[in-house]
Amino acid sequence: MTNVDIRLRNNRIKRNIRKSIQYGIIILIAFVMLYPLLWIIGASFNASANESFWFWPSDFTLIGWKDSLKAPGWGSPEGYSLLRALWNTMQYTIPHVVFGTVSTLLTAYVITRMHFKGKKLFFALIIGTLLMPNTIFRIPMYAFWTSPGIAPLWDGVDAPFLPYLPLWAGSIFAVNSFSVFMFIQFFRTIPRDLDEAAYMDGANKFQVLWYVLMPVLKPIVITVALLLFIAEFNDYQGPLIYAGTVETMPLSLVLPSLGLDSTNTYAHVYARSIVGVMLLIIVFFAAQRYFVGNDADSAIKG
Amino acid sequence: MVGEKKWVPYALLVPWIVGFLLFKLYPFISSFVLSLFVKRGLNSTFVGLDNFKLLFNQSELTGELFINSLRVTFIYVFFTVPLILVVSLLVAYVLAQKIKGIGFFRTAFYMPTVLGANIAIIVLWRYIFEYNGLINQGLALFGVDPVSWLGTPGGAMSSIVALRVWQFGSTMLIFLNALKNVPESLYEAATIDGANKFRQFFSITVPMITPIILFNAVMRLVETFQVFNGPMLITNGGPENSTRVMNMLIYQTAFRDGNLNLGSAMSWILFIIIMVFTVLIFRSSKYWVHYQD
Repeated sequence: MTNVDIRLRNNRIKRNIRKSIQYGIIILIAFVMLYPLLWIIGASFNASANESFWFWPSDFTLIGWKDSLKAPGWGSPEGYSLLRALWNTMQYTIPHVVFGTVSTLLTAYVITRMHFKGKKLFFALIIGTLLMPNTIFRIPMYAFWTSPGIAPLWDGVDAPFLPYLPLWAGSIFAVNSFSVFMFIQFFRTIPRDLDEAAYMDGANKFQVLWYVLMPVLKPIVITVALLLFIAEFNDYQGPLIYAGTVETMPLSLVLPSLGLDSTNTYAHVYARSIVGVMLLIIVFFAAQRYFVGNDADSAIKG
Repeated sequence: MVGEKKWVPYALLVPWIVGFLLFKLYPFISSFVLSLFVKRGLNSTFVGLDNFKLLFNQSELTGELFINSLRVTFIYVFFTVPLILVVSLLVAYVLAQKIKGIGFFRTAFYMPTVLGANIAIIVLWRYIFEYNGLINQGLALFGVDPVSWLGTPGGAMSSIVALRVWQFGSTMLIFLNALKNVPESLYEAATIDGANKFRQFFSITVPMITPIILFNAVMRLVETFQVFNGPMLITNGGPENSTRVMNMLIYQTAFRDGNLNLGSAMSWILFIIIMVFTVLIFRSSKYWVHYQD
């Protein structure tokens, strides 16, 4: 072997060692992060859960899963079905995602693609409100929604979606500055030539947005919708403040009320929690190829 | 842009303008006004800054609780934000090294961000951190004695910090994207000059992404100062108020006890603290943030 050969071999060994260390770190962190989630699945099948570190159930049972859709004590001793709580959650999550995505997309489109006076001010206000803590808006908004003139619009109204109006009304008006910001960042990466060419052919603003830009915007639209979905589906303080009757309680209020007791074992609690996040997991995996595996996250960058 | 009418952009911005006025500007001003009043029965009386004085009066229970919540919130933020930034940057850095199965790892590291913020999972955190829970079982494998996570102030704080740091996914994705934009030629030049990976990380990678570090730091700061779910559901503020953070105290004062005036005063102090920190970070940025253009 010549000296060059030896050097090359040494370099290759060095590189392999470095790669192994990298994989080692990354696999270890992934394990630490994901193991609690995996363990919960195993524990939901375990009659003596919370007694072992290991994933595999030591004392296999289906007792938790048999009743996993029931919420005993919610409304009545045997309780309503968790599907009802899920539907309650969806009654504010769906309008929030639909209105929130459309209104923030439109706002970002106007800000980035149209010329008008005061544009810089609008942009500054959007960035400014991005940093405003939500906490400061919450109390006056509560006073507003519960005032005698406004409360009859939603409080106790017997119709879908409407009893949750305070939780999603803001999304009609593009109040989510972070979504607007993400759309703005993405619009800026799309060459204007695309719009100009369409205008030459006589298209109007909406046709350009819908037919020309929409195909390019698809990943960011899905990303924003997904983030709005996750945030609203997981919201706790909102429902807690505006909770109406027992029947209208969403998942985030029903699940914490179902702790361990004489009839509910660990297996029950774990199984029910998995049911509670099932839709979230399904939606995340359906949308994630546009999200974490894609250039869409370039829009998140500051 | 042929024949564009001047009013069209404004008309299309009407939803946002209404949202800004009704959902941002109005409550912003209104909460300040509320904080200057006291409600007795049906009458509101103007009391100036009395609510604020009460909050900082250590000899009253209200003041004692509030100052404690300030202290606790600061502890939470000062552990959580640096930990999130360091962990997410480290993971992003390793993932940026052309690793096989990157799609799997990105999804894996993002899962806790999706699920960990969900109430169904937060509730389980209580059981995972209890005395014979998963965490202590895991520590026992390494011969570590069980820790009373939820029974001691330090343990309770650690478990809510851990819950949040666990969800470093979105911060990590932002870093990962920034790292991909660092020109390869810089690393090549450094390698020729004999700088090792460690040197390269601190003298190329970190300086090149300082604007993103600034962005992430500010976003996480604003968010963590308002922490609510973990302390509310895992520790319920305890033990001995060691995790009764500001947002939890605001919730209890305003919505459980119905004192909107005092709650508004608290939320204004929280707002001012967040603004002061944001401004300080932006001010300091001229010493450590490098913009390429």
